[in-house]
Amino acid sequence: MGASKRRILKIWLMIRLTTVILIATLLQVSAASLAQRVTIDQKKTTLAKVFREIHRQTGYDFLYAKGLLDQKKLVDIKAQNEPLELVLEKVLFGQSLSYSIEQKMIVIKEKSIIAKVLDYLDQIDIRGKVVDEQGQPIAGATIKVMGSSLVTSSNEAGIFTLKEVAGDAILEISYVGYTTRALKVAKDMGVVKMEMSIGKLDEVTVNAGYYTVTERERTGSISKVTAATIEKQPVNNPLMALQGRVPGMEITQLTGMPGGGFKVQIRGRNSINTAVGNDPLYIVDGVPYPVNRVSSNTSSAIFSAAGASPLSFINPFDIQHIEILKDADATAIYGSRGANGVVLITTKKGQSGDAKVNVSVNQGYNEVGHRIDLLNTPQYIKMRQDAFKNAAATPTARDYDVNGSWDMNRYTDWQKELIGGSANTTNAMLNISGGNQASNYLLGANYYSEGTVFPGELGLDRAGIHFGLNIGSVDNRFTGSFLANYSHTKTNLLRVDLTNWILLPPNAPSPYDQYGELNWENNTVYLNPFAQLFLTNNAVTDNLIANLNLNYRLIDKLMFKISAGYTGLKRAEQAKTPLISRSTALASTATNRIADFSNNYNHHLIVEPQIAYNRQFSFGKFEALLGGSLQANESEIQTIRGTGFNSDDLMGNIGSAATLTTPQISYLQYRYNSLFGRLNYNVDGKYIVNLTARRDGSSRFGEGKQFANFGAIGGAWIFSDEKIIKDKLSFLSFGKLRASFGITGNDQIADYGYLQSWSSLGTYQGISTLYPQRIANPEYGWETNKKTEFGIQLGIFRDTVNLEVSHYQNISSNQLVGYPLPLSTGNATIQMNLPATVRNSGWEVSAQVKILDRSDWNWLTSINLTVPKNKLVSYPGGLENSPYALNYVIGQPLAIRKIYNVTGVNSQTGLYEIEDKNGNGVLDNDDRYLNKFIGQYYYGGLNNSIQFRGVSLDFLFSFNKQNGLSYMNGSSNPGFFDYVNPINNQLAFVLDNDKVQRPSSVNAAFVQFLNARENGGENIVDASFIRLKNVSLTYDVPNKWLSELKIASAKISLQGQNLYTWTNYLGLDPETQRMQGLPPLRALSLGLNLSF
Amino acid sequence: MVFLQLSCKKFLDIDPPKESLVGSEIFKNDDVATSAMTGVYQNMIANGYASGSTTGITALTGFSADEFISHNSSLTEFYDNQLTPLNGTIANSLYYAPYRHIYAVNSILEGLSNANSVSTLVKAQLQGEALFVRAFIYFYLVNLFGEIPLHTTSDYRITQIAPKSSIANVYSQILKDLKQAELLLSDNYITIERVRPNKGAVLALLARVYLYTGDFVNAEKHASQVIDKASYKMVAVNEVFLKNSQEAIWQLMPNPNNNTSEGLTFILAAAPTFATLRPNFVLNAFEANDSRKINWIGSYGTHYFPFKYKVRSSATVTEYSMVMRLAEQYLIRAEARAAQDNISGAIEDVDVIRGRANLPLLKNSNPNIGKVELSTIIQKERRVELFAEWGHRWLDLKRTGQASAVLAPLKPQWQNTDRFYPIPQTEIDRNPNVTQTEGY
Repeated sequence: MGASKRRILKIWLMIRLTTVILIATLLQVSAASLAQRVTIDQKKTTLAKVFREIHRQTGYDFLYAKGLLDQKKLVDIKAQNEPLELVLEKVLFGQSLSYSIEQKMIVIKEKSIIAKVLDYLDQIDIRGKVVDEQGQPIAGATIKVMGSSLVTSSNEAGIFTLKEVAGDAILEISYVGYTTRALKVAKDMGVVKMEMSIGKLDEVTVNAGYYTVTERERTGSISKVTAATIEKQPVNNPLMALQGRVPGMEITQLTGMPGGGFKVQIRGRNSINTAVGNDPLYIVDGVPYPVNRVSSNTSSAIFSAAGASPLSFINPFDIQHIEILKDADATAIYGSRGANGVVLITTKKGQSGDAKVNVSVNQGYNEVGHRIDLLNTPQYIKMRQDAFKNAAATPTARDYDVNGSWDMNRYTDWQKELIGGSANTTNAMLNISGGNQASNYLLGANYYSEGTVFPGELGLDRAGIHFGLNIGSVDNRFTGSFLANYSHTKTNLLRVDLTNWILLPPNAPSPYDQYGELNWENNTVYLNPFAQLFLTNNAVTDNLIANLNLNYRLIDKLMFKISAGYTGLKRAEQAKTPLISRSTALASTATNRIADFSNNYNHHLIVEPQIAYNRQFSFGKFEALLGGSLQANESEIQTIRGTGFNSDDLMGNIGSAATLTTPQISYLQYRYNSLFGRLNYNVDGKYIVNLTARRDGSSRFGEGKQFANFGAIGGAWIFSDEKIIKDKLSFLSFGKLRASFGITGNDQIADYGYLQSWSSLGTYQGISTLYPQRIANPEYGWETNKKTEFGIQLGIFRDTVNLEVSHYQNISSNQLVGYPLPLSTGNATIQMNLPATVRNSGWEVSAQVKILDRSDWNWLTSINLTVPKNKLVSYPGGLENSPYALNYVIGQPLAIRKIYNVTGVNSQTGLYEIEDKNGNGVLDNDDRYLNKFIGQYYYGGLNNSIQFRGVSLDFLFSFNKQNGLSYMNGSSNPGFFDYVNPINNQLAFVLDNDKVQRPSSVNAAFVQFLNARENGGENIVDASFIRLKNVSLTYDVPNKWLSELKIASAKISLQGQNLYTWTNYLGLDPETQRMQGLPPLRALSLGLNLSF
Repeated sequence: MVFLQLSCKKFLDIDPPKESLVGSEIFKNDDVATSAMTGVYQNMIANGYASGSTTGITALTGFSADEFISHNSSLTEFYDNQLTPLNGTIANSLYYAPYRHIYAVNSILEGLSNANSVSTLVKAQLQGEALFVRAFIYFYLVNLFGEIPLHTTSDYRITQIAPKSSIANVYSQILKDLKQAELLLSDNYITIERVRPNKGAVLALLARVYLYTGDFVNAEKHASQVIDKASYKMVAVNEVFLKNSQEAIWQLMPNPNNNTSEGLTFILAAAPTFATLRPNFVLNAFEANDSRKINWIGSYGTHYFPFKYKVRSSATVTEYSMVMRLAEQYLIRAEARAAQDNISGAIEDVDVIRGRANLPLLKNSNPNIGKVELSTIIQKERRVELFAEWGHRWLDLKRTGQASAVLAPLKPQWQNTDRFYPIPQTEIDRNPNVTQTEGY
């Protein structure tokens, strides 16, 4: 080919190019002037059909040569009110056809060879930015060139680039939760604004820990609660915000004390041995977070046996979302710690854009929502006098309440005096967020304070800062994030819970005498509840969670990530028992002054390198992940007790103690290394298989037992995408079947358990000695949990109704139990794995119904229901010989009591009558032949969100059908009086009640009462309840009022928690089921939230 | 580099716990290894069979024999010899507690046999003590229960299925341990006090074991070896039970700032709630003017109590709990010599005891006494010398075949099989190879 020919080609090209530019300009003009728009959604359709539809909508005619369309490919076309030109581009893409619009006529022609070549030569590099409705960048949006395999995603700054894209190609930009957009390519795509797709539940992303999935395509059982829900609740602990909202997650608040403990179980109790933990694994921003062991035993009385809740050191409002992983598919990637479920907490991150300031202040109060009906003084005195009459006895010198020592006409409402106060709450927050395209930041500060309902100045103060930084390089190869959350929490509480003494006799003397001094009423008062206010228990906790994430895209589809995190919790406690708190009736010396000084810490370090590979094939999407985890945990609790102080005032100084002892000391190191991986294969977004596996090594086990493998397979079929369903069941907008099976483990056992340990218990000849504490068993390993799940998810009538139903079955085996040994071995039990099995199974249902879905009126109702079943399936080796013989029955749930048959109250003696089943004349363990269940039959929540213009109202009812411990659990028999700690008042319900033991002062009555209460199951009652858990009313102040004040948005909210409880339960609260602990408080709070 | 760590076992090596020591850490130096051994003594005296308290061998066998009257309904089974395999005191104090110590000394012996960092001298001392303690405990187990499981390892996989050993086998293990301990221990006490066993204690126990097994030659020989040592002397009646008394061969040191549990348990300061001496013993067992009756028996109203230990409770510690003492060695040798027809030698030994008690000496009052009569006198001297001490009376009644003859008249429900206590039911339930003792 000569030079002349080349020149001709060049001219040709120039002419062609000019024409293209001209036409393009013309088209722009015509498009602008005509503004024809098309809405179309067709799949695998002929071009002819599509043209007919466009003709129907626009009135434009199509002109093309006969037979031109015959050989053309079928097309998929989806457009929502898009310009005609764009729709045509999409339709004709890759078809070797061109179009032109002349008047109201669309001319379709075969592209010339040259045009086709030009298409190729026309390749350009493009660049753009994806933002949301507020102009904030969207990271991770998918940018795909239609009809090709070219795909990329936007970086943290929303920026995307693609190289060598055909000049006439169409870009499809999608992001979960947003409507997908299609655009013609251009070198500079500019800013692409995405619109939120409201109500698209199937486009929500879900954090699965090491990876994210869409709600639509997830194969596992994962529940999600977002900041929007959390922020509506005036709570001090994120766990409170989850109550009643997550199917399969049973959260029990154990006390109403601020910072107090919780019991959390996901899908039931798996372990026979109560020493093996059943807590889920908590991960905050990728770093494991301590479950317990942060407060010393000194604090157990006030915070419940579970101690202070570590999650109370995290500001709930710093949380972006919480995911709860439940089934094998979701949890197996957490291997040995996935058996009891995983709770993933993700804190808030920054958003790019101009600096945005958000300020919020909430002010409110907490109070005991429900008081119990107790005997008043005349009723109480009569009960006591009846007690002596029935026992044919007279009051002794110690019966101060009725022997004349105490005024028998005096009345004190101890509930009002002790727990009747109201606790002020303040919650203030300031957040600043902003950044450029590549990087952004979030800076937050918060302060929370909560008083108590007790008299005196007690409470919790928490101050925290939150920091989030996202960084990215311009070429989008490198991204990173850093999150840090620090809080400083001070609690000034008591060693004891004053709720203990609401059962004091109503005629007990005034706590203070006429001079305002503590009143011991001539040494007849052994316990003055107001003296307990001197039993201070103060703690300071510092909590730091920091996490660094670095991602590097090696090649297009291969990403290398490394994350490193640290959690450090440090807690210092000081608890005092000064002499002033002790009754003058007790002989007190300096040795009765006790001060406990505790220093505890818990450090957790984690490093997790990962490689992710994602590839889109023509036949499906493939995702692979390989990662490793190195973890080191170190914790220590050390309590030093000083006694023998010379004065109450010196008790803050440990140096003033005459004697020092260490009532509690524990030091633990725990290390962990793992390899994990995931393979996910997704065909057409319809058929999805997800494989996860993990190999774990743990220092909690002995040589040879340190490593174990876990894994799961999950699958989903989105059947609503099948043609037959679309055709025949068109009301079904979404339908998915999913199933999973896998094995996870539980390693929540004591550290060092495999080693023989020697402890110091005393001295000999003045030198400390050692004695074997625990027999060595290097042979025990993990408890394993085989999980199976089936689920169905449906969206009906364009997702007006969304329903998810899951059935799970978890079989927990290889149980770590205390296996009984012959005494001659020198040890009564040894920690061992036994192939005993516990089965947890159940149904979980959650549904959302859009009752109203209009532009200014929205009403969404959500309901969730869990029906759990728990059963001890087998216990090889004989349950009856095991240490658990009196606790469990094969075929029954773990949560039972083996009890006597209490046949009623004997009308003659007035005592409980208990059947002597084996007829041997005494009550013994063989007579405990009945089983009574303590636990939940079903539970759930019903939430309503109603929005009318700027006003939104949310209210949640939680419900529980359950058996629990009644008031009786913390009470003595009617008529009994213990002068040392006279918490002997009774519920008014016992009066003249022939189901309750008659008042009696004799010891035999007390013994029989205890028999009936403890082993007779009389204290187990129906503790079902429905609670108005949360109400939130928010008003968005209209913009027109704000703009002058330079305020971007303003919200005023009124929030309430635990507002009302419907129950027949006899006792303080059906959730805590304790008489000695503060019930969950009713909270009310008014808040203002401003954004600038 | 990080990936290399991931499946590496070394990463999982953690530091040992701080609040307790793991087995392997114990035997890395002399002091810690020693504290493991003294832990056994501390545990022995703290509670259970060796504590001298209400759950000790002294008290419980005293009820079973004819020493004590019970004032506590929970002890009726001992007092009436109506024990059952379900008795909790048997299980916890007389069975489980000694076996816990067996486990401890077996662990110590195993640890020492592997350890390289314990010095040779300390290792020998500790091995000797551990072997002695094992022999001492098995001596009591075999005498209280008869046939018992015999464990010389701490490995629960072996011990949990081990059957009972014959009495003869238990004794041969005891002898084996003691002979080995004899070679390992020296005549000196390792500390200034007599609270850790030395060679003297080994020889004394050997003498006792030979006496019990009828090897009178060896019994005499070993008792002589003890008696001949300059460190042991008979002391005045009121000084026998003082701490570091010259008569003591082995004492256990009470918990810090405490005197003995025997003192606290037996000395009456109020109406009895536990044990008092049988008046018949107090009034009839002693000869006239026996200074032991005067000094070692106290009274509270009409009740008598053992008053060997004088201190009921005081922060000033003057008394230690006596486990083995010289007087017993004289009585062992007397019995062994009499059995070998060495009457004069026997009289010599008995007179040491009688002389100290301010009684007429046999060599003066009855130099031509016959062997049978002499034996009776020796047994009587044992009874009044060693009463309320470590079950001597109960064990003597059994080994001399006198149990039924003496106890049947006192105890209407007495059966000959009551000589041995029952094996606890939990042991039978958990080890299919252990059978119950005859009579239960």
